[in-house]
Amino acid sequence: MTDQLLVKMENITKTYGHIEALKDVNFHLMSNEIVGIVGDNAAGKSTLIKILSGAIKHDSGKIFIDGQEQKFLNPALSRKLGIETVYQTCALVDNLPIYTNIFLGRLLKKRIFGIFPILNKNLMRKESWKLLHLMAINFDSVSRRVADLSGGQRQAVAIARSIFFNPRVLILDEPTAGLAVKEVKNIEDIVLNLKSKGISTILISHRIESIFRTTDRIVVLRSGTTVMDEKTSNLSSNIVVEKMFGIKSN
Amino acid sequence: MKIKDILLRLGFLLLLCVFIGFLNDNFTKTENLINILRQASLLFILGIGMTLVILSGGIDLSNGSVLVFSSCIGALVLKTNLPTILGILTIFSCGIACGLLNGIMITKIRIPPFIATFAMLFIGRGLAYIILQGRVLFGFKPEFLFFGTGAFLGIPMPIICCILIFLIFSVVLGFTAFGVNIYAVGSDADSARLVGINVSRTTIVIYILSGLLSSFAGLLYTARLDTASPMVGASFPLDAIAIVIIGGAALQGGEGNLAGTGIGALIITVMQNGMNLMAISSLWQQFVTGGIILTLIVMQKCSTYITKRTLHITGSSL
Amino acid sequence: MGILTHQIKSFKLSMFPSAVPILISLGVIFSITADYFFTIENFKNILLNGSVLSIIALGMSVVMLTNGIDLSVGAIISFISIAVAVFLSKGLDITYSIIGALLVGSMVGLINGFLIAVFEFPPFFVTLGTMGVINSMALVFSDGKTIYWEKNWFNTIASSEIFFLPIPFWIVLLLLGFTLWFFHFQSFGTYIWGIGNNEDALRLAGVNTKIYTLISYIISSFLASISGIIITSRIASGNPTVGFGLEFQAIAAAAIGGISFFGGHGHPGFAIVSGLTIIVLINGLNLLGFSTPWQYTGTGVLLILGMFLNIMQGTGEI
Repeated sequence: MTDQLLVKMENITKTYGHIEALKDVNFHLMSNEIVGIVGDNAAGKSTLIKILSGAIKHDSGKIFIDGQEQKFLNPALSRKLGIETVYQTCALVDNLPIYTNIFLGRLLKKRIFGIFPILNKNLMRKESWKLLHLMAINFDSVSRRVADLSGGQRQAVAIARSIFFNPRVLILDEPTAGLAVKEVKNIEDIVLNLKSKGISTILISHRIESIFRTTDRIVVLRSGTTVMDEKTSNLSSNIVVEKMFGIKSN
Repeated sequence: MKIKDILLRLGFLLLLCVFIGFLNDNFTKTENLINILRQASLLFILGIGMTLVILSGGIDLSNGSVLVFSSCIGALVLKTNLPTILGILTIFSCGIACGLLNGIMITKIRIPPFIATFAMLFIGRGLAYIILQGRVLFGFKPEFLFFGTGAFLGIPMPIICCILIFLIFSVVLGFTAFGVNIYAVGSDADSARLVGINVSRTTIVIYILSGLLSSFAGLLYTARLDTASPMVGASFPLDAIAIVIIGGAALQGGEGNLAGTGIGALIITVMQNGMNLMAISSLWQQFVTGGIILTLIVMQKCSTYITKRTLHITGSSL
Repeated sequence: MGILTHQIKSFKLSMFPSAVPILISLGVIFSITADYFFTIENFKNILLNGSVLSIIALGMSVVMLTNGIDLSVGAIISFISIAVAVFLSKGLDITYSIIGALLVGSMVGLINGFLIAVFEFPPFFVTLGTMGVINSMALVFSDGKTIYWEKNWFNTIASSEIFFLPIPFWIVLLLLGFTLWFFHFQSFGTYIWGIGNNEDALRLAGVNTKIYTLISYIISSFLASISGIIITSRIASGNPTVGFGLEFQAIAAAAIGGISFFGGHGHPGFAIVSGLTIIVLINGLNLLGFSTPWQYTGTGVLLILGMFLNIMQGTGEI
C-alpha cells in the first residue's frame, strides 16, 4: 500500500498580539502513520493542531488536505474532510447526556410523516452503547450526564465521539493528562489499533514513554518553530528532551 | 431538568390555588379561571421566547419594546384599507427585524446581550412613540379583534395560540438538532463551537424567535384591548425573566424547559389574581412577587444541595 | 509611589473608554447647534442632573467589576427620598435625617451583599427581589403620595454653590478622589479587580473575597442613598417613584464607561464621565426641541455606539 500525503501545512504563522505562537512551521502527515508532537508548554503544539482542526485561523501559510488547498477551515468543515479532534478540554457539554455528546454537531435524525426531521434518540443511544462497548469501556447507561463522569470516562467519550465517524486523521491533544496508568495504556492500545484500521493519528503528549511506544515519527516544537522532525526509531528520549528544551549535552 | 423539579413547582402552584380558593370564593369561579389562563397565556408566550434566550446563555430585555413597536407599526397598517393579513405580517416582520438586529449586535459586533437588548429596549419604544406621534390607535377591524376576543370551541383565542406555540416549541427544543444546539451553546459555547455547531447562527435565530414571539404577544395584546399604545409593557422583560427562573431555568444557561416556564407564568398570574381579589394593594404585590422569587431560589439551592449530598452518599442521584 | 509612577508612565490614550470622545463630540455639536447649550445656567443644570446618574453609575461599576449587578439602586433612591422626607416632615434635625437616611440605604446594601457574598445567591435575583421589596416599602410608607416638609436649608443642598459650581458637583469630585485613592493607592482596587477576574485565585492567596464583595454592595447602596438625598433636595419633596428606571441608566453608563460584563476590566472612575455623557445627550436633544421619545431613542443609539467603540478599541473587550 503506497503511502499518501494526507495533510500538508506550509509556512504556518500565527501571532497573538506580539506573541508569535507559530513561526513558519511546516508539518505533514502521511497515511498509516502516527506522528507525535512534543514540546514544552507554549511551544505551539495545541495552536498548530487547532489550526488544522479549524478551531483557529492561521495568519499566513497554506494548508493542503488530500492535495487540495483549504483556505477557510472551520470545525464543521474539518470533520467533513475526515479530520477528527479530541481537545485537551474534551469539548464535552456537561449538562447533556453521553449519547448526545457523542453525536454533538451531527445528531442523527429521522423523518416523521416523511417530511419533518426530528432527532432519532433511540438510534443514537443504541449506537453509542455499541461503540463504547466496542472500545471496552463500561458504562451503565449512555443517558447519564457527562458532568457525572470521571476524567478517564470523559476522555473515553471524547475519543469514542471522534472515531465513530470513521475519520482518516485523528488528532489527540494530551489525551492522557490526568489519567491513571491503566487508562493510559488503554488509550495507547486504541491509537495503535486505529493505525491498523488505516487511521493516521497526530498525538500531542507530555508522556515521552507513550510517544515512544506508539509513534512512527516525532516532531519537536520549541517557541513556535520546528526543531526536529525524525523517525522515532532513530531517536532516544534523551535526544527528544534535549531538543524540547534546547539543552545541549556532551 | 428532572421531572421532580417540575412536580415540585406544580405542587407549589396547586397549593397556592387551594390556599387562595379557600380564602376567596370568587377565585374558583369559571370566569375568573378563564381570565387567569388568558392572562397567563400572554405572559407565557413572552416567556417561551425568553426561555430560549436564557437557555442559550443570553438575555432579552427588549421584549416589551418589541411588543410595542410591532403592534404600533402593525396598527398603522391595520387602520388602512389594506387586508388584515398584511397588518398581521407587518407585526411579525417588525418582531423578526428587531430580533435580527439584536442577534447581529450580539454575534457580529460582540456587544453583550444585556446591553444590546437594553439598547433595543430604548430604540424600539422610542421609535414607536415617534412614529405614532404620541397617539394611541384603536378601533380595529373585527377579523383582527377575533385574535384577542374570539374563541374556538369555547376556548379563548389567546389560550389556543399559546398552547399551539408551546407544543411547537416543545418539539423544537426537545426533538430537533436546533434544540440540542441551544442547550449546548448555553452550557458551554466553546465546546459547542469546537464540535462544529455554528454558535453565531444559532444565537441569531434564537433572538429572532424571541422577537417574533414578542410581536405575536403584541398582536394578541392589541387585539384583546382594541388599543395599540407605545406606553405599555415596561415590566414585561423582568416579568418574563421571573417566570423563566421560577420555572427552574438557570440564569447562566444550559438548564431549563418550557413546561417549567409555563408553570411559572401560572404561579405569577394566580398570585396577582389572588391579591387583586383580596383587594391587596398593588403596593404590596411587588413585595410578594419579590418574596416568591427569593423563596424559589432558596428552594432551588436546597434541591441542588440535597442532590449533591445524595450523590455523595449513595453514588447516584435521585 | 512607585506604583503610581508606573501607572502614569503606562497611560495611553487608548485606555479611555468611548465615553470621553463621545462626550467631547456631543459637547461640540450641541454648542454649535443649540442656542442655550453653552451657557453657565445650562452647564450647572447638566452637572446637577449628571451628578445623580454619575454617582450611582460609580457604585454600579464597582459592583459589576466583581461580576455582580445591583438592580436595587433605583428603588433605594425612591426609598431614601421617602425616608428623608418622613424624617424631615416629623421635624427631625436635618443632619440626623441625612445620616439616618444614609444608614438605612446602606443597610439595603448590607442585606444584598450578605445574601450574595455569604449565601452565594445570584446577584441578579437578589437585587431584583430587593428592588421589588424596597419599591413596595417606599410606596407603603408614603401611601403612594408625595411628602413635603417645612422649608429649611435641606432644600438648598442641591442648588447651593461653592466657587460657582453646585454642591453635587463637588460631591462627585470628592467621590472620584476617593475612588482613585482606593483603587490605586490601596489594595481595595486590586482585590475588586481580582474578584472579577479570578476570585478563586484571590481566595487561595488568602484574601477574604467575601468581605470585599459585601463591601462593594454596601458602597453601591450608600452611593445610591447620596443620589437619593440630592434628588430629594432638588425637588424639595419625597417622591416614592423618583428612582424608577435609574438602575438601568446606571448599568448603561457603566457599560459605556468601559466596565466589562465579565468582570475584572474597566475603571469605575470613567462611569462618572459616561453618566455625564448620557445626561449631556438628553439635555442637548431637549434644547434642540427633540421630545422625550427622541431622547429615549437617542440614549439607545448612544449605548450601541459607545459599546461598539469600546469593543473596537479593546477597552470593552469581552
